[in-house]
Amino acid sequence: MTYLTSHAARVFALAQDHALIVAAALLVALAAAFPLALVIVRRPRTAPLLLGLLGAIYTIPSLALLALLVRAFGLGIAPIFVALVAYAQFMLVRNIAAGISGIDPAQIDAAHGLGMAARQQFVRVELPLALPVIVGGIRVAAVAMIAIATLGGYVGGEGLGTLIFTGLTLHHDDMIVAGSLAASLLAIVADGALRLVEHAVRR
Amino acid sequence: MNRTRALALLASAAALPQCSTSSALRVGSKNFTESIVVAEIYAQALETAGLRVERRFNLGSTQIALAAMARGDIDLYPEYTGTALVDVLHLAPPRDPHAMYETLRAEFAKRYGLTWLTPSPMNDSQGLATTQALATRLRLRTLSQLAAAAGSLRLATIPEFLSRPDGLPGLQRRYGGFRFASVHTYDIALKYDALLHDQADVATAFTTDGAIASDRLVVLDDDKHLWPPYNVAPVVRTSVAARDPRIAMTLDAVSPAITSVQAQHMNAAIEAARRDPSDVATAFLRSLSR
Amino acid sequence: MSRGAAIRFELASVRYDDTDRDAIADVTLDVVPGELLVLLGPSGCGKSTLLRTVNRLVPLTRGRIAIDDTDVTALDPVALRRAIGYAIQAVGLFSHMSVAQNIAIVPSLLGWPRDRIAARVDELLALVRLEPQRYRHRRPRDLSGGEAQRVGVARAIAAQPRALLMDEPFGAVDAIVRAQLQRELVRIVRELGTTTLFVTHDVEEALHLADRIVVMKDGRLEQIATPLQMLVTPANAYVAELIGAGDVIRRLTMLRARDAVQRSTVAVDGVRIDAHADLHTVLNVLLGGAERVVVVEAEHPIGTIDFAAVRATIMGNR
Repeated sequence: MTYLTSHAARVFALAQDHALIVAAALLVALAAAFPLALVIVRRPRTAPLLLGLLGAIYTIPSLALLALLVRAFGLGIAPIFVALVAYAQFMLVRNIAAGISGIDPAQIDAAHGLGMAARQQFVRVELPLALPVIVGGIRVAAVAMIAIATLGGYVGGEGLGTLIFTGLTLHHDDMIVAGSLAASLLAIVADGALRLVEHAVRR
Repeated sequence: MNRTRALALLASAAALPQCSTSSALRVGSKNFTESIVVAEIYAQALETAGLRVERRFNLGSTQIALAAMARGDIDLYPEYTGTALVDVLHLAPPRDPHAMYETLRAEFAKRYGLTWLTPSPMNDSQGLATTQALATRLRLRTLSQLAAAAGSLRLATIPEFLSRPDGLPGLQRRYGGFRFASVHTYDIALKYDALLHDQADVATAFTTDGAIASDRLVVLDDDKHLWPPYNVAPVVRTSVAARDPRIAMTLDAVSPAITSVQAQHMNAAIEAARRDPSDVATAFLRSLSR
Repeated sequence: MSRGAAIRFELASVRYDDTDRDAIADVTLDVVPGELLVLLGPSGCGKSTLLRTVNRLVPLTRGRIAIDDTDVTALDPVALRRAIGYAIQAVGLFSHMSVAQNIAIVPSLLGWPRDRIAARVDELLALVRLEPQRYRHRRPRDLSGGEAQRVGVARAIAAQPRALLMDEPFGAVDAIVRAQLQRELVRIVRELGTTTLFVTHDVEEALHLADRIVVMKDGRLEQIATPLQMLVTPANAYVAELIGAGDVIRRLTMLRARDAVQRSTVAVDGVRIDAHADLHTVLNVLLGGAERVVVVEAEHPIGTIDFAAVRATIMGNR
């Protein structure tokens, strides 16, 4: 506990970095996941192949994937960023596709029949109705990414992982505890905040 | 080099006009305490001299640090002369340490575009350590004695040690024997724990490790002189050093002050006394100006 | 004067991909402006498909459809749909929008000014007998089945379409509510003069609502006729069976006292019945013990009806 209290400012700054990295990776992951999800929604037959591929990536142990990415991107933030985006795909694509496919078909039929153009239908009906499930997927992905991002400390990245791995090297257990505790707290906060959002969009 | 000259060099380095580029100098370190604190010393000295420094510590093993240099992810890091000669250049250590250093300078410049700055006197040699109790019981003082007794002993080591030419293979060639009953690899930070918790009898050691300062561990004598000196020195990308002469000036002033005793003292302060590497480095640099 | 659209089908046919049968085949039909035309048949007969070709939710494979003499394929499909009302059995109210926002959807797509939309929403809520104050801000999940259907109808006619397509809209509500909704629908479309195509598999509903009924089977038209005509002269055994033509009593509600009256100026005693009352009511009175009823039109007796007259009228022998 001592490191947490004596270096509160540093831990907080690292937590902020950690949160920023995860948030940025999440945004990029969403940008990639949406089109993939739409492919599955429009052509359900691609679902087993696409989700199978993304699921396979998801099962690669994080350390192994990171090691491979270091070969390609070197040390620093780049490999962990790519790893985060890759891991998040499975959860995000699956939830976005499920959210959109799970919409009441009667409302789609009504929207279509009343004269909404495709884009209006998507923005005014499909997206708002799919939002609760999508936000649920974002929540799950964010929590997982906060944990995985601690591995960044192993490859010279930033964030709370540096506390954990430096603590390991220096035999400073309280640094390890500080890093782990802060990461857990961050995950709890993220989960809570996104649950509120999920609740708010569930109408 | 005495203290006054060191100070004078440091001062003049700081007084030089800013001729470096505006981007920060990236200082790296390997993944153990001594590498981190020496790198921190380099970093703080350079900052005092007016440079902007970015720290990228705890990167990994020798191979990873060199790869980072090659890729341009870091500009400077502390490396050991013995390690560089045997493990990187794969050359046999010559009798004369001075000749060894010249070989390093020439080869690193030619092969990698890297410059070796002035080395420190501290010698963080490789070694094998055992508990005081076991050494007394088996009457072990030298590596020759250990070579014969290894057959009934368990070794705790790091992966690097098993493949380096100056690691276990080197020991087996020079001394014969050294066929341990069992060999387990651990993360570099944990290897002494196995020894202390009686999960191993012998552990790879580095002679300035903080843990060795305790009474419980003893390092055995390299009576056949397998290992060359392992002096730490800053290794910097030649192009970077050329752009800013303050780098060489500053670090050449500091390096001579890092002795084996100082190194061991700093390692113990960080690992046993739980002090911050940054504070320990600052205290060291401050002691230079007294 | 009718404000409804005229809809014409000429040899309209639809065959879906990878099927070997037409869903609808060579349908030729003229829908009279302002009429309530019921498409009747068992599931799979093509009635829903036919309905959805009008607003191009289903494309025609062969033939053409014209609305007020304009081929529907010449129009932008989205604009076409905004000009035609659409109501379905599951209603499909947008669950994330309020009742008012649901009803306002087509006007808002058409870009109506905000206050015009607000006024129209209140007007429609009143029309479907839902108190605007109470219902404007409700969510669809807080509505009963009947209330949801009323909102669905209001939404369908919000932009004052001249044609209205309804696909079994009252199928999911209970019998009492359904009867209510049927009466209200007839009232509304008569008042507005909207041409209405109404799909159902419920024969009673068809007989109650329709100006004309279209019976379909296997994608083809079997008969187009008024309910009474269909009951009296079914085109074939299939229609007769479907509609229950053999059950003559069904005709009672479709015939008026004036259809059965034996005109006379002789003053007679007896129970007075308005000329517009249906024969069902007349028969009830007769069965109650009266020998005859006196038919009154605008306060003046115009004649009488007895059992023989009822029988003759029902059997079409008059």
